[in-house]
Order: sequence, then C-alpha cells, then structure tokens
Amino acid sequence: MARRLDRLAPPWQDARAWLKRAIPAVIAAALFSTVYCGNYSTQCTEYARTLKRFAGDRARLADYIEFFGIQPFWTTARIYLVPLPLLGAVVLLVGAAANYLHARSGARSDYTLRRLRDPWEYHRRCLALPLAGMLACLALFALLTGVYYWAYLRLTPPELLPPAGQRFWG
Amino acid sequence: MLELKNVKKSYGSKEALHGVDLALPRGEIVGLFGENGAGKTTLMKSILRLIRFEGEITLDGEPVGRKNIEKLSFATSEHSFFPDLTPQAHRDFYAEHFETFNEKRCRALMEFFDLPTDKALKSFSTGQKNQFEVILALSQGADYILMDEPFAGNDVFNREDFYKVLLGLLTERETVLLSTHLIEEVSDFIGRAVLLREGVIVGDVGTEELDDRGETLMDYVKTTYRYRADRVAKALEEMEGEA
Repeated sequence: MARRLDRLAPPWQDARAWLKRAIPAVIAAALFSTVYCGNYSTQCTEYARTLKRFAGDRARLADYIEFFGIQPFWTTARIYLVPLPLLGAVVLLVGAAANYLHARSGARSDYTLRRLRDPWEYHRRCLALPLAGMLACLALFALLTGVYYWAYLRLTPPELLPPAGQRFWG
Repeated sequence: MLELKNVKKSYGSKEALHGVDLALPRGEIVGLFGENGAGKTTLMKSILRLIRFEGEITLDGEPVGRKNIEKLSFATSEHSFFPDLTPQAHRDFYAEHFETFNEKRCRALMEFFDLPTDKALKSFSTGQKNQFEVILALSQGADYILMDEPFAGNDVFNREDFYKVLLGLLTERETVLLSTHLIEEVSDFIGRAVLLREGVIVGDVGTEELDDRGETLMDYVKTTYRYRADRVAKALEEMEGEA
C-alpha cells in the first residue's frame, strides 16, 4: 500500500507526509462548514418559538412570514461550503505547479521521469496526489451540501420554507 | 543501430537541425563536436524524445517509444538526477524502473569515485554531481549512452579517470555518443568524430582514418570548420588601429 502510494508521488516527495499536511486542511474546511448547521439550527429554534407566539394571530403571522421568510438554502449555506472546492482548486493548482517546478529546479529530474517505460509516469507522479486532494474536497463538498440541504428542509418550519422549486437556489 | 533520417527541429523561426542523417552502430564511442548552438543538445534531446522534431529516429529498426526507450540513457551537464535523493535511493529507483539496471556496475563506480551513498545529491560538489550523473547513465543498462557535456566543471584528473573507466567498462553492445568541447582530451578515447555546424553534419570521420592520414582530430575539426588562425591577430590589429 505504502509502495503504491509512493508511486503516485514524485520520487522526491514523501506521499504520507503530503497526506499528513493535506488531510487536516480538508478536515478544517469541512469543520468550518458545520458552523452553518449550528447557526441555522439556532435560527430555526428562534423561528419556531416566534411562530408559536403568533399562532393565534394569523395576520401577524402572515406579516412575519413575509418579512422573515427564510432565504433559499444556497444563499446562506454557500459561505460555509464554498471554501471546500476552493481549497480543492488550491491543492490541485499549487500542488501540481510545485511538483512540475521542483522537477526542473536544481536539476532536470523531468528528463529521467520522461524517459521511463510508462510515458504517463511523469505527469501521473506530478498530478495524482493534487488531483486526489481536489476530488476529495469536491466529494466532501457534494456530501456536505446534500446533508445540509436535508437538514435545511427538516429544520426549517414548513410555514417559512420558500415555495417548492425555489428552496435550493431561490 | 541508432538511425536518424532527415531530422529537423526549429525553435520558432530559428532552425536548430536541418535534416540530420546519422547512423550509430553498436559498440562505438562517438564524439559529437560543434560550437555552442550547433545543435548537439537538440540532437540528443530529439533522440530521447524530450523534444518534438520532424523526421525519423529508429533504434534497431523500431521508432523510439515506450518499448525501447530503456535502451537509451542520458547524462547531461544540466543533470537529470533527483537532487533531494541519496545515491542509494537513486539505485532503488533505477532498479525498479529499468529492468536492465546494472547494480554491480553502479556500486563499483560509486566506490571507484569514492562517492557517499547516504547524502542527498544536492549536497555534492559539482564534480561529484557530474560523476554521479555519468554513473547513472552507465549503469542503467542501456545500449546507447548519450552524454551531453558530462564533464563540465570536473578537473582534468577526474575527466582522465572517466575516459579510462569508460574504455575499460563498455561492452561490445554499448554505444556512447559523447558531446564535448574537449576535443584534444577525448581524441584518444573515441573511435569516430561527428561534427555539427549550424544544425548540419559537416564532418563524420573515424579516428583510425585520421591516423592513417596523419591528421589530428583538432586539425580535422579546424579544417572542417574552416577555422581562420589569423582571425585573432587581425582583430587585434584592427583594434590597435582604432586606438
């Protein structure tokens, strides 16, 4: 396994050390997104309490809904979720650029990598880990977006939800 | 046999190789000579497919590709090793990627040149780096060893040692194409001289033939290049005249 992992990284790079640096960054971005859930559930508790207070007064309730009607999911959630794909893009661009530049600094190591039997070995070693990092960020982004949207639908008082079809993007 | 047919290469509007034809049979040490910018490095990089070119380059009748790329090795003054790795790590890498890697030869050469095995290459002196670069090229197990100015920065004793080792080490299967400016120094070690000028082969001669003619390699190079010995004196005269 370790050997296979090493073949995905440039010879000068310790794949495990790279993962040790990348994984905490991805976890931090994922954890940051959970702030959305915390904030939103507190907000929904407040909405539910207000709705209960206005339960007997339909006119005030209607005003309240019109005034405080909840924003579509993406309008508020994106602030917390977008750092994940952004981090993915940074991992890919910076990681790949660093590998390609390193292959030409101090010596032309790329000549050796480009002379190997597998013509893709050079690019595979320079791109595999940054690409895997970006894909992990995108997968986590998709997963968390799904989970948070599900929570948005479950936690939001039904009276306050935007009309169907406008709940995700608006 | 390594064969080049009508190989052309341009960098923008500048043509670096103008339809080069060359054949290198096995078991030869060939010197490739030419002024800076003559196309020596471009020729080698074309053979190794490190750059795109027009024309045809074949290795034992087959185009150079993934099947036979291992038959070629390369030592360059730019260095193609991994500076962060130790020689031991290079040996492991070469053993893993080149089926014909000659571990025994590599160890013997490392010992001969007294190179440390556990220090990263970036901490080596320029001379040691050159030595290691050539050791890798000689140990890869390639049939055709291309060397582009491999001794730039090495002292004369070091270079002398290398030529001797090279002669004693190479088998009948191995061909060396050595690009260098040190014409006189290598004249006793090469069997053939190829002269490149402005991307064209202007001379190709066996050293035995030169011996028979009573001509030195340096004389041959100067004649073929139409070197004007009075050039310096004329320039100095003109400068004095201006003053």
